[in-house]
Order: sequence, then C-alpha cells, then structure tokens
Amino acid sequence: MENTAASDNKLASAAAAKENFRVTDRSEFEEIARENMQRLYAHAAVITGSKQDAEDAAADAIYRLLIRKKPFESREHAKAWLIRVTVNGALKMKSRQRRFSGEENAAENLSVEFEYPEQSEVMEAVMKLDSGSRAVIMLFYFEDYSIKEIGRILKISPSAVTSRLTRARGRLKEMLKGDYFNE
Amino acid sequence: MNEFNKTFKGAAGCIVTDRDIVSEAAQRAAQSCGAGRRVRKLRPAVCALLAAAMICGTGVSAVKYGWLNVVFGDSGNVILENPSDYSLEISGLETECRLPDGEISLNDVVCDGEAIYINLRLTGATEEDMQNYADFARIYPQLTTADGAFKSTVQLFSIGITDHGEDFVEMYASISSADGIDIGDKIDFKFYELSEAMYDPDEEYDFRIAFDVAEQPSDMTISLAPDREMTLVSGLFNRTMEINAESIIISPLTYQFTATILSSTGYSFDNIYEAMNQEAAVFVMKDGSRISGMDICDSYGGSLDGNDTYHIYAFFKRVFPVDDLAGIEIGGSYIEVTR
Repeated sequence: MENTAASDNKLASAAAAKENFRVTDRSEFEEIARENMQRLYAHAAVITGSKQDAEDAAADAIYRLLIRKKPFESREHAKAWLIRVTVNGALKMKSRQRRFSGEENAAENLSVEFEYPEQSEVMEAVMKLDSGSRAVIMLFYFEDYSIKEIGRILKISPSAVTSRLTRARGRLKEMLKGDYFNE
Repeated sequence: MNEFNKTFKGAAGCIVTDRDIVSEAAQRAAQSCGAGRRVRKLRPAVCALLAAAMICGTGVSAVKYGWLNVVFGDSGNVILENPSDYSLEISGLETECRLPDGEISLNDVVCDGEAIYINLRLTGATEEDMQNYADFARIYPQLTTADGAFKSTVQLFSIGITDHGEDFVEMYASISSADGIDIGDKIDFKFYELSEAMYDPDEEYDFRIAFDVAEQPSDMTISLAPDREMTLVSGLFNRTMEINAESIIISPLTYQFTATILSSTGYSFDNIYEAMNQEAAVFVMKDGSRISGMDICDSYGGSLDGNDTYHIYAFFKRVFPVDDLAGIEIGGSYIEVTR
C-alpha cells in the first residue's frame, strides 16, 4: 500500500512538473492538440454554427500549432494559444459567411446529442446571440477565463468584454424560462 | 455556480466531432514546405523627400505631415480655422506589410498634445477586411516614451474606414494617453489577423506602422478639476446615480471625463458607463451656442480604477475649437472653463 501511495505521489509530481516545463518537443505539440481537439471544435462550432466551418477552424489552429517554431512556456500556455487562434479564426470565418451570403446564416444542425433537454434549450438560446457574444460566453462559462484573460484572447478591453457579457446575459434571461441565473 | 453555468458547460461539452482533425493537420504540416510569409519592407514616398532634403544639405531629419480637411470623412464642417496647427513632425517612419499583394503608407499624422491621429492608405485588403481589425480590436497599439517606458492608460480608437474600390482602403485610427503625447514618444501600430499579442507581440501581424514624435506637440488642452457632486440619470435604465466629477479634459481631438461613483447603486460597469455616456456633456460656447456631446463625440471608451472611479474617453467627430469654449454642462451642472 505504501509503495502504491509513493508511486502515485511520484506520478502526480511528474505530471505537475510536466505542466510547468517549457513545451518544445514537436511530439508534445501533437499530444496537446489531441488533448484539446474537442474543446477547440466546440468553440468554433458555437461561433460559426457550422460543423464544416468549425472543423476547418479547429484544424487550421492545430496546423498552426504543428508548424510553430517558438516553444511554449507551459502546456497551459499552449492550450490558451490554441483557443485564441481557434476563436479568432472562427470569428473571421463567420464574418466571411455574412459577406458572401448577404444575410445572416441560420446555424446549421451541429448534430449534437445533449444529455438532457435543458442543455438543448440553453444552447439554442446562446446560438441566437451574435457570434462575438457567443465567443465571450464560451470563454467565460465553458473555459472559466476571467474578464481580463478574455480581453487578451479577443484583444478587446475588459470593459468591452463586460459590456458584451452583460448584454448577452440580458438577452439570455429574456429567452430562457426558469431560474438559470439565480445563485 | 448558477444553473446556466452548469447547464451550458454540460451542453458545450456535448459538442464533439468524429473527424480526426489532428491527423489531418499533422499531414498538412508534414507536407508544408514551411515557407514563411513574404515580408516586404516598404519605403514610403516621404523617404525620397528625406533623401533629397539631406542631399540638398538642409539637415532635415524629420518630415512634417499636414492636415487633411477630409480626415473625418463625412462629418461635415471643420470648425477649426487653422488645421495646420495640429500637424506633427515625425521621424523613423517604418511600414511593414505582410499581405501578399499589399502596400501600406502613412498619409497624415495629427496631434493635439492629448491624442495622435493617423491616416493610412492600404492596398491588398478590402473594407470588410479592415472592418475586421476595427470590430475585433485586432490593432495592437504601443505608445512608449523615448526611454521605452509604457505610457499610461493608452486608448485606441479606430474612427473610420473608407473603401476606394479597387485602388485602396483608407483607415483612420487614433491613440491617446493619460500622460499626453510628448517629443520622443514612439508610436507603433500593429494590425493582426489573429490576436496573438498576448504571448508573441512581434509575430504574425499583417502590417505595421511605426514612427517617433519628432517635435513637442502644442498643448491645446483645457483641464478642469471640478471636484463637484452631481446626479446623473441613465436614460436606458431610467436610474439615477450620484457621482463626484473629478476631472474633465478637453482637447481639439478628445473629451475625457473622470468621476467617482458615490451612491451604492449595485450597477454593473456597463450600466454606469452608459449613464456617463448618455448624460454626455453639453459644450457651451462663448457665443452662447450649445453643442451636445451626443452629436459631436464618437468612439467612446472607458476604464475603471479600483472599484469606483470611471474614466470615459471620446474622440470628437471633428476638431473642437477649445479656444471658443465657455463651459461644459454635465448632469444639469454647469462648469465654467477657467484658463
């Protein structure tokens, strides 16, 4: 039992140490990409509303990771970088959708299997927001980033982040029934 | 954690793909020959002028940029009679364009001691491309002193973009600092397709304009410190709030208002910010005319110090004649300009 405990402690320490090491190894880049692939897809899907575009945006971000020459300070740094590239790529893609279609595209069916109906209701409401607000909602509620961190990712001021979040919450409250926003 | 937070987290976690994106990207990366973007360092026409000036032995080390009356686009009348008062001498101009077929040049630079306003000409991009930079604030401005120290409370505003069809796109952008603009200050605008300034500020920008301020800008600022309590009403939410007006700064290009919130309103920053905007100042001129801030101010921004002190920044849609200003009215309270 003691050996197992000691071994577990060693593993935990090694994992923690790995988190803090600079990420320079190319194979580690691919490992990080696989760890985060679904989250990147989720960000892009919520922003673009299109399965195809979301997959392309996520793939593009991962490609940029794999050809990147500079190391990362940590795995967390790499993850944040990936999210930032994906979110901004998806936003750009979304703006191009508007340009070429001439009107706001309806969100494609993302073929999502939710665990229960409330999840579907909430996501449907979020998808009615503009893409910029959806990006902020994902970063705040899904990733638990702070206002300041979101501002850095989207390169907007914290007050602009707060403004978007406040407006989005207001709209969501109007759309959603129930006590979703009571603590 | 509220119910929305839990439910949304779960819902977003259900959004998955069965496509092996990583393998696809790895294959693409392996096939990539790793060709980087072509970087062209451009020499704007002004450098030819510099060279000519030096050959002629004038010893000119900087070029003065003039003022274009049309810089504010469709704003209508330009009030100021002597726009050349705001032209600014710059040196060390650098332009760098990484767009495949792009060129960038600096048309104009104007400064009033509080803000710098630049006018750019860009080929190789459309108006909507440029709007992306403006909408998502992918413009990374840097304003430092001659010694490299960062200036405080730097605000960036992109005021306008004009599409000239197939020829070029014109973009106006402004930057201000609570420290004002001084000789030797270094201005550096980088425009990013992807916002990666957080970790790699020198990488992957699309284009760049950088220069140094080569002369001390004229100080045309009116600075007021009313230290006065007043009541604002937020039109949107029809609520009142008590504030103490700490300072008001008016320059030909900018309006800045700093106030401390006194009453315990429980409002979000957004609510307060809207109240301060909607109760925008009324500028009372010496001839008795009144100009509403809602009509003349544009590009509001703001920031928060600590928990209670709010700064509102705005750029004027056209140059403001500060010499003709008698006072300013905020929240029904009149503050006389003292010089």
